Amino acid sequence: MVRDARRSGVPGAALALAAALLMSGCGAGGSTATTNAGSSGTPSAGVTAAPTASGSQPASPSPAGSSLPTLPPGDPGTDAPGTDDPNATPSQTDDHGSAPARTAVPAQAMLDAATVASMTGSQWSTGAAPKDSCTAPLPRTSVAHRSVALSGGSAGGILETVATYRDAAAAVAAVRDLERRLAACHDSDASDPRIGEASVQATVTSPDGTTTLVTAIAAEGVVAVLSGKGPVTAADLWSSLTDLALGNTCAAAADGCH
Amino acid sequence: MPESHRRPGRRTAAAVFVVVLALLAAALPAQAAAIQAGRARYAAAIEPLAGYQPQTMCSPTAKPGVADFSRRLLKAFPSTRSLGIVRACSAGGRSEHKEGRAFDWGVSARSAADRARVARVVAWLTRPDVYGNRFAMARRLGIQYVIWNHKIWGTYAATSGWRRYTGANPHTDHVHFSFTWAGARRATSFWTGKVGNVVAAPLPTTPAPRVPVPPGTPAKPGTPPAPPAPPRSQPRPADALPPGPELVDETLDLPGSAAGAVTSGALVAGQDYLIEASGTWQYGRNAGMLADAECSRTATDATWRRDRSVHELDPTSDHLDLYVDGTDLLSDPDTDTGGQCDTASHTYRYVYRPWRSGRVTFQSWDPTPLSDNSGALSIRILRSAPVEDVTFAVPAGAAAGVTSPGALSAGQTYLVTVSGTVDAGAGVTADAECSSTPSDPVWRRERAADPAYPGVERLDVLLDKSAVAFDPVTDADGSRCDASNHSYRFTLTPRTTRPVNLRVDDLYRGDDAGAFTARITRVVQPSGPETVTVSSTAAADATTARTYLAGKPVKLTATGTYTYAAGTTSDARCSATTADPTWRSNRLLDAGGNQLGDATVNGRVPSWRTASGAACDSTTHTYTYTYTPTVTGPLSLGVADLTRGDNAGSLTVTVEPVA
Repeated sequence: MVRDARRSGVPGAALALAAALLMSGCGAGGSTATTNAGSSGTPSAGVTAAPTASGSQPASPSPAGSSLPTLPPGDPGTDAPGTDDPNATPSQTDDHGSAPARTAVPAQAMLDAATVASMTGSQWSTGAAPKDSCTAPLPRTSVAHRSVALSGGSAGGILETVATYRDAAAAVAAVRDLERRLAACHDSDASDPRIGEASVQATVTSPDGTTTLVTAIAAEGVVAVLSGKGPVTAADLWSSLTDLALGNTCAAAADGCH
Repeated sequence: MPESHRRPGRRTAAAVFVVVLALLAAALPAQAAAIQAGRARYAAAIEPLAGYQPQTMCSPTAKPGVADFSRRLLKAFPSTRSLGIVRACSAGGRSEHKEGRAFDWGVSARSAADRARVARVVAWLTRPDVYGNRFAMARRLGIQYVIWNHKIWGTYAATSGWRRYTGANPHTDHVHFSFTWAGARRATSFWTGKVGNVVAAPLPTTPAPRVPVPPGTPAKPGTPPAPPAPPRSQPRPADALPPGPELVDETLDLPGSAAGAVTSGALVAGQDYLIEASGTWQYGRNAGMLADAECSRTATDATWRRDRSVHELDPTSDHLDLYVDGTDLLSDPDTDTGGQCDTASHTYRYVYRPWRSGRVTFQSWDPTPLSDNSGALSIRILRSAPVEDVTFAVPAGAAAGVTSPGALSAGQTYLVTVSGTVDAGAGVTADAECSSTPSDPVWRRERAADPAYPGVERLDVLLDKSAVAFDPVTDADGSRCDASNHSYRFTLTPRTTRPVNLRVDDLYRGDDAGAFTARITRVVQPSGPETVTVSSTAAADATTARTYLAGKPVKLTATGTYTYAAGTTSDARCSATTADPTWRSNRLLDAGGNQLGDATVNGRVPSWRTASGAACDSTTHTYTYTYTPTVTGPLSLGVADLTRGDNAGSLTVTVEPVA
């Protein structure tokens, strides 16, 4: 029970973290990375190198000039013996997620202006990230978090915060907590878009009448919170962006991308 | 060597795999629904087992086949979740997620219910179909491999069953589905009914720069080249469709410079529509930058290609295709001149069944600015509702022919009548089957009127691109040409409900002029009697007002007498003369022994019978005959007399279908 062992080892740290977060605000730059020291019990050493999945390639591939693999990463080869039941109950010790949470969120885990531009068909740039608020909420009790604000002019704007947690359960709990906070801030109808291990989506309205679409997703010990305004929140487009944000969270996950 | 001798272990593993799947599928969770198939039925043709197509590009947008598959899975299993399709190219190593070709389905290997769900999906993907195709749905979807619970199964090693997966992530909290490019693009038989190319990755061609920089042009120091504008996004379904009057048959123009064109009429969800898109448009200032509904060429690549990207920031997308309500049509060329493109008529067809009702938007996906575009596609949307009687023109110069304004119902019988003549060029006049030339004005059915193909008969009217034998409505000289009315008929009983296409078979249409008139009527066997007066003096035979089906017998009753010649009176079978007033059946014979004076049906003398069984009925002059037409159409009724100028009077013929 790896997860339980980790959980039992950090109650004091978690309380300290919660207290620290209540005191902290949000980063002020276009993209900010914060390590919540003491939350993981490991030394803060900047961006932790992502563990590479067995069989995966070490870097993003180049379209030409490199030899292409003939098997997917992790495939032992077509001559490998067949196995029996693919649905066997996994043992209690072979689950993943045993690595400690990252103490810094890498930039690769965040949405970037170029990718968002390619999806929306308009120009995007980074801007100042606002402080924690009901319309740009930060997840609490994280090990580390990083925020980025993206502006698409008439296409709208996005604020994204990615936070790491000590384990998957804590990340799910953070999404549930965020759901309660949104409900407390606004009389909004929150729904579950069924992405990640837990998710919530709500449209919140500011006193000035501005509406913001907020989506929070937990996946493998990481939470991504997206707040969007304007045309970028159109259903299909927002769905694509949240899917991309979910996919990027692997860069901040303890086990890395697979 | 047989596979069983070569790899005994794998056979065992595969057998265990199937048994386990069956057992687990039986434990299906109660709340699971069926996974919705892409089509109501599939033909036997199927994709081969796909090879592995690794990620080679950066294209982090969910591809439509993957997105649609994920939606179907999440709908069928409401308690499960999506763990994502796309991933930024900077995150992690090589992965089809970076091309939007992989889907992580959120289920837990620790949950027995989830394991049963996975077993059901895997069984659905891998079981043989009704044609005996193994791994049928996986092949039809273009899936290349699946990872689940420490194991991997790939179509590139399908018969090996599940093998141990050695990657760091055990995939115990999700199933990873990876798709080939064809599957990801929704271009496989699961979606289209046509076998997709899952063997090789149909990558688009590399886009050419819009403004070529002359070789050797030095870059200005300190001024990096301006990045191109981000690509215009792929067409998406509108949030809602505006209402409108129901669309029956509409043609609209889609200018290349327009973001889209909306139909005036509303489509009805679940109803089939034939979409026919023709023409070309220019997607840039250079005249070589041309596209039609599916294919395109560039200023530097004159080959028309189905797959092409024209934006360097989006190199893996297939641009310039026609979309309806956010869906890439993947339509079929009228004539495949190579690579599934139609460079002859630039006409493509697709049967579209909308999932929602309303007026729909057509869009051509040009990822670059539209301001320098020109030209337009012509799009005809035709409701595939059955019609009873339609008339339309078929211009000789219409390269892709003309599609009937309405569908013909499966199993019903239709009479296709094509009338008129057209100028086929070089002085040649043609009707639906025959032609006449200045040097040989006789209308002939077989004529090689095309000097380029002296041994090939052309200029006939083709039905659905096939040469069918139209029958002349009138054929006075037995030439099988209707030299007087130029009207021909063909009986058609379609096996599927669909419109039909008519065209003139002519390779050189530039000098063609005129149009045929086509009429398509549904034929049902009439009931009750129909009476026809058969004049003995008319040059042409009488015809029934009603159409009778081939193979369906009718009872003919002929009564009365007429003057065959001075001093000779005839009825439908017999005759009497002033000199010999006895009614006889064999008095009037031509040199060949054929009966003269008898009533004819479709140009032939039948074996008329009297009620008493005698040869002649000298009292009531009433004869009957049960006739089974060999072609569908009106019946032709006359008298066997080529010299009718000396005749007088008429017969009466009653036609009544036999119940």
